[in-house]
Amino acid sequence: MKKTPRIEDLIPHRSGMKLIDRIIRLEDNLTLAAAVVSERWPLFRDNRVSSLIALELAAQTAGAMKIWRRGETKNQDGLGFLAGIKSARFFQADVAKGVELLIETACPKILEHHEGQYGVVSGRVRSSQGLLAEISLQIISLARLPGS
Amino acid sequence: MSRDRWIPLDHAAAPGEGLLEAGACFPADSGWLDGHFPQKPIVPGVALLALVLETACRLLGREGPPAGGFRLKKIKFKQLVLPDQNLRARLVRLDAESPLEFSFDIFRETTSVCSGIIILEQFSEARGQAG
Repeated sequence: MKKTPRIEDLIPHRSGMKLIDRIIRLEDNLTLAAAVVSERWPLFRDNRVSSLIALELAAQTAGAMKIWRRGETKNQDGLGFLAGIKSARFFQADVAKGVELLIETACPKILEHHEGQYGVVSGRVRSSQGLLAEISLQIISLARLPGS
Repeated sequence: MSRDRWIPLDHAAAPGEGLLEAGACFPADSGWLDGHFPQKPIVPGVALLALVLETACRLLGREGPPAGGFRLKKIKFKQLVLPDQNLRARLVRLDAESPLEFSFDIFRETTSVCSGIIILEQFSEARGQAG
């Protein structure tokens, strides 16, 4: 049985900004990941974290998609970036420390262009209590950083 | 000055009817830049949106977003934001009859680096404790 890769092997985020704990499922255009709310996370205050953090969770999960990594093998110095958010809805203000969040992202279509790739990623972040956020992200993966 | 190390706002003000403004700067040792990214520190987009959300809540006299949540629309990240750059968030109320809906820009000098729309749900007196 093929082993699911470590998140560190899939995204460039490290130290305090690596929020995803583990990858549960990894397919070409669908990724399921998990993370537990921690006091070391950004936007953590009064034992809770702002639900806005769901945006970063979805972006990191989207970054792990195999479909993007396929492109990066051609462009080892490239990075993926958030180009925009078509829409996002956060259903509650915040979420408590210790809650496990499941993050699912899907990207049915990737457009290739000479500088990299572009895609619209739909993301859902939920806990056992229900849906925390629904997000539609616009992601670009560039062969090289602007200005580099 | 900022009351939260994650949201380095200063001089938040409402200079006109339906207009909110605040300044901010993410220093090189900000937690947002701790691993984002190791070879090339870049302020994450979520940090910019946290500025906008905090500006709106603070100038509406609220400790945080409404328990019912909030929405974002048509967000564009136009340029990379690097450490130690001075930023200014400017929110404009979309409609006098919709006091919790704002269009916004985040400027670096005169250049908009991020723009979009934020819509807060109605505030209630009890904060949400879900999840």
